[in-house]
Amino acid sequence: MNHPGKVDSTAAEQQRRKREKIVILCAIPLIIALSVVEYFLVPGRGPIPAGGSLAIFAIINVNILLILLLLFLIVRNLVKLIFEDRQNVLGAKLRTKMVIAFVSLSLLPTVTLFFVSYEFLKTSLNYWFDVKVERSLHNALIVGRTFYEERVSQLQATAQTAGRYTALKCITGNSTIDVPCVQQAFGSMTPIPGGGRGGEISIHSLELLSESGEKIYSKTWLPLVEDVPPIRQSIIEQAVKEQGPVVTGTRVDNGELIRALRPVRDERGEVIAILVLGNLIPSNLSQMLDDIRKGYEDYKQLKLFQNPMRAAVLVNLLLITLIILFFSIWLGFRLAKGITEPVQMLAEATYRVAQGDLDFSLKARGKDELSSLVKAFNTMTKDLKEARRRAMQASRDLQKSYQELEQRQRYIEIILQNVAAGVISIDAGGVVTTVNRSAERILGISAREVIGKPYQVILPPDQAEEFESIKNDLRSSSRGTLQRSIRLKRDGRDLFLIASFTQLKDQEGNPYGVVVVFDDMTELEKIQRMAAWREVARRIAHEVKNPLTPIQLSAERLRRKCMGELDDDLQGIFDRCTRTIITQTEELRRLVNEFSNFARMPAPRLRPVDLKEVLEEVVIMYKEGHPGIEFKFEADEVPKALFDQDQIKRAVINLLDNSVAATGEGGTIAVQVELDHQEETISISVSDTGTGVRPEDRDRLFEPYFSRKKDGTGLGLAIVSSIVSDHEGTITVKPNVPRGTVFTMTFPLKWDNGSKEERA
Amino acid sequence: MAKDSIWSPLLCIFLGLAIVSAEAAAPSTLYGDTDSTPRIGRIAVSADLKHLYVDVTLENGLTPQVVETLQSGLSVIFVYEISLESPRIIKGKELTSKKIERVLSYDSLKNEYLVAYGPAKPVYITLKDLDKAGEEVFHIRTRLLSLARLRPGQVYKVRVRAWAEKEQQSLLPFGGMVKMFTRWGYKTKWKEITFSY
Repeated sequence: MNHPGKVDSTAAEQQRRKREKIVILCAIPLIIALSVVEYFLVPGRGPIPAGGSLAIFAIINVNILLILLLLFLIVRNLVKLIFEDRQNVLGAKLRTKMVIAFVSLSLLPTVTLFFVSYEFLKTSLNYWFDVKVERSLHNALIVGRTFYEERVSQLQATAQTAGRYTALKCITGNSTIDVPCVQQAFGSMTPIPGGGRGGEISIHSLELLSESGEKIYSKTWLPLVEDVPPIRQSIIEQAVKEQGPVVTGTRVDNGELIRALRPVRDERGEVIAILVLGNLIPSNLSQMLDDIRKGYEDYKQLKLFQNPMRAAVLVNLLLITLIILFFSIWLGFRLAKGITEPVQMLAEATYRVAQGDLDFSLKARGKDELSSLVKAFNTMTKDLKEARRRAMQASRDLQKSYQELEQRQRYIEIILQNVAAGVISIDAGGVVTTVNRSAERILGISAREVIGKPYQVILPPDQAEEFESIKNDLRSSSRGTLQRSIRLKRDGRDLFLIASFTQLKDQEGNPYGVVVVFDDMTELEKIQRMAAWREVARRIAHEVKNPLTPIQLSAERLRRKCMGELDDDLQGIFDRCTRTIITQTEELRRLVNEFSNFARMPAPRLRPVDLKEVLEEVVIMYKEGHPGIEFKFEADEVPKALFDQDQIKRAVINLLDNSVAATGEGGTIAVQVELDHQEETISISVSDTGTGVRPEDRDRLFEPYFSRKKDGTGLGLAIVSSIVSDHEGTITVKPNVPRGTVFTMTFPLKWDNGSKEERA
Repeated sequence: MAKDSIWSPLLCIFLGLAIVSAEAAAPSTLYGDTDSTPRIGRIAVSADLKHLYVDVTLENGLTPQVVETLQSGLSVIFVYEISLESPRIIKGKELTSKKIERVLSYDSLKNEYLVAYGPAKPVYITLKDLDKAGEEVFHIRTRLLSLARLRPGQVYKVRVRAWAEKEQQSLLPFGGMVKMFTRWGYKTKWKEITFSY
């Protein structure tokens, strides 16, 4: 589903409104301009009121523009709807349905009304132009015309008679009109009797005009009228030209005055005056006649413009229909928008909320249910935001705690990994959970290989059994802690460990496992043993050495004093015995001296020593002493390092003594000095091709008084080991290939300042 | 479905508008040179001592439409447009032009025709006979200009045309629109004569 990003489109809405205003402002002058242009362009323009035409053109233009606008809106909205529908925009389907519904609902009644109205008007128009109506109007006109013509002909006849009478009686000898005569003849009579075909007619005005139209005499019998209106000059001229009376009608206040103009001629036929007789058609009658005429003319005009009028009606209906349609469709879109927009807005807002965006609020318009829904949504968003803020705060606190915990754990792990003691923890199920680096080093195991495995799998059965018994003891122990000394074999080497077993318990006191903390006491034990042996040696030396001199001196004195006094047999025995005493005493002295040397092993006095030179001297000395053995000496370029020269020399001599003893004639002994720059160590190896060392003796080789030699004191290698230890080095023994033994002493390289600078 | 329901009335509306536009834009009848069509007949130029005069006759001016309109009570206005030009290569120079109106109306009750001369200082003549009324309307004589403005030996051209308009039927419903949809009136082609002064 596609979700447009922005819900709050206030800026876009304002921009749209602004655009619409601009369009409207542009449209108004456009409509006016178009109307004016069309007004002047349309041909056949007559005395039509300009305002009316302009209004019509304006209406048409408005409609055209509205239609164009409607079209634009419909097409735009349709395209938008289709596009949104395809894009699955929220609310598009609902809006489509609503628009269709609104348009259908508005279209049906509007179109129906249009056709019904048109039919109705068409019927009405047909009724207007019914033949009966036309005939009636025509007959009415004929009646009116007959009445009028009758009145006119009577007036003409009267005027003719009056004219003849005037010509006969009232013309003077010099061809002028005799006004008193006329006055006398017609002035006192009312009505003047008609002399014609239609009987009598009332004369309501009498005028005597000159040929040029000047009034000679005038008398009226018109009610409410003082004087009759003047007659147009053209009528007078026409009357002069005409032989018979000319009739003209004039509208007066109380009706229509029909006047007949009769020229009065003298004997020569010259017009000397014009006699005008007037007859008033009363207002009611003239109004009726006018109505008849007007009705007839209106009808004729209607009939004349029947078809244009139909078109005008149709156009009017169309315009009204279009306006209704426009507004209904516009309203449809508006209503659909009014409903779907909040729904779409809510849907989009829900999507944003689902995406975690709570920093917005919807605008609630109006007071309807949708507005309430929007308000409720805003409240919900606000609550969610507050809840999220709290949750985030809690999360931050938790994270902080976790980080602290992690730091602490890491710190503990670092301590655990760097502590000299080995630490192994085992959970309640017997699975190894922790093995620190020291434990790996001491036991020669890999934590990766043992963690996660039960101890029963890792340990041999007897040790597993022993651990089980320790666990049982722990359970029964009130303190929850036990200490045990443990001896183990590792890579053929004996290990002596002091282990502390502690039972782990959780907060409820339930057993959680066992943690074992142990220290490698092998070296310490060795040192302690060495120290003990030294003490023994010192005491033996002290206790044994003192009596040896008197014994030896006594034996020698006995030989010196008594040897000559004894017979041969006794002398022989005496000689052997004293000699034995002296020899054994010497041997004992040597032994005691060895003990003494071992016991008095001083602390090394470190000085810069050229190892190569020192050891080469030793090897040369041995070469000379043992010509049957091949001695080899190889040495790297070793800088002067801090050693106790005498002790190192002694250690190498001890090793060479052992090698010489083990190597017979034709054997080879090699001394090698190597420098390891990376490790910063110096190693001295003494290898021989002798009988070698039995594997079971290797661990005990460096113990005092252990020797496989008949005359060995068992102190040589112990002294070597002691010297190496005092120099903080290590000594190893390995079988030589193809035979023999290799002793390797490895010392950390210690520089004095001078050597260091020299080296640099 | 929605598309049909929206477009169908729009189609009707547009067809209606097209009709309206066509009606509104349609010109009034322009008659050609057939026997019964209105046309400018005789044009005669004359002069007195001071002025130049033109006599113009409109032939077939009383078309059935005009007669019918007159009998319906509406006045018909006949307008004559006369111009005097001095011919030049491209377009003649107009020396003067004038419009003369004759208004003919009919009183159905009195069964008489009224001719009004105009437009300035209108003069009215009442006639019983339509043909006589026609003679008054279709034959005009007017003073064109002062002879002083003409140069002797110069050729001039008189152009005349006429048209008929009806008075607005103000009483009709939708009067303004009806006028728009009525193809009423006629207009003759220009007729011209040249003369040498």
